[in-house]
Amino acid sequence: QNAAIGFGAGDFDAAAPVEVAADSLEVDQATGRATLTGNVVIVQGDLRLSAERVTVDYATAGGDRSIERLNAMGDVLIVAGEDAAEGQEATYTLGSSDIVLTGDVLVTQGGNTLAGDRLLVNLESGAGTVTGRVRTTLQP
Amino acid sequence: MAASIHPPEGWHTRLVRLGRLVLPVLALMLLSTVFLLARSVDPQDAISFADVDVSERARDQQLTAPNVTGVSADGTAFDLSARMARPDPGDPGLMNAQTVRLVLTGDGRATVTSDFARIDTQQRDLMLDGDVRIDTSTGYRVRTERLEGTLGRLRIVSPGEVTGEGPLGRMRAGSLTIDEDADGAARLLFTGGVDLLYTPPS
Repeated sequence: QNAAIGFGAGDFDAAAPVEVAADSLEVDQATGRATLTGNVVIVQGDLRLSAERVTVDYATAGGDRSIERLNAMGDVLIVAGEDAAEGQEATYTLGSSDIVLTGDVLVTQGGNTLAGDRLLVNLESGAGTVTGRVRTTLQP
Repeated sequence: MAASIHPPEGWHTRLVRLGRLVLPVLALMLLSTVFLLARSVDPQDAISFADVDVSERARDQQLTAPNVTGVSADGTAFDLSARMARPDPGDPGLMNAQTVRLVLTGDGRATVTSDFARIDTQQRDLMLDGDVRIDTSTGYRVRTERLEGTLGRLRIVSPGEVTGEGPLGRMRAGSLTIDEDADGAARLLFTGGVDLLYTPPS
């Protein structure tokens, strides 16, 4: 089953600059594929996504490359406003501001936590749904 | 009898007699003015040569626009050219070059330019110095102070910081290595902490 939650304040600016920090960046000269490894931190507006490894998918719209998707792997932590969610893998699509977090997801919001298999968040609307074996623990 | 066959004086014969007189005179006049108007040829002033100090050029050898090409162990072709190169006085195997351009082609292309380079032709080692710029086919344009490494088995490292821009926006990294990974694919490896600032297209 799934549970609808609010995630992040919702007034997310998808065109805000994205700051990325990592230990190292490897670029495959043949395909141009970029892989960031080693405590990668991605900050955009009040979204903060950190992971062990992030690969970049480009969209070559109109010739120049723009980033279409960031794929994060390895103890992923997403913080938006005061909500936080952990998981094993996440995909952040910049255009639509959608984040899909999978791999024993744990969402913590103000004391109570929500566990499930998959979290789908749209940062612009602030709407999120947790699916799979959803278990909630409410702080009394 | 003879007179009768002599035709009356026609305009044609008068014209011919006149021509026989005027034309040679005209020719003489033309001929004389030719020497009058000719430029004075001064055999003394020699053709102007390049004003390079010949003795200096003779003393030390110098290669103009040398070009070294080859292929690294894993198949990356390199083409190293410079405006001018001189063998190192100490060790003839070493060359000091100016305005250097190194083009690496194989998987993708990388062009490295710098002001100076020291090239060890035997070991195929090189050290590029002075405003080193790296421009790759994968859209990275970065600058650093120095690059050192070898072309035998492609591995070129920048000891110092690298700054510039690429598909991931403006970037800064502690160091850059251009080499070939385990299965021989050429790669750029930015290490020592990487900071990127990407602004999404509005």
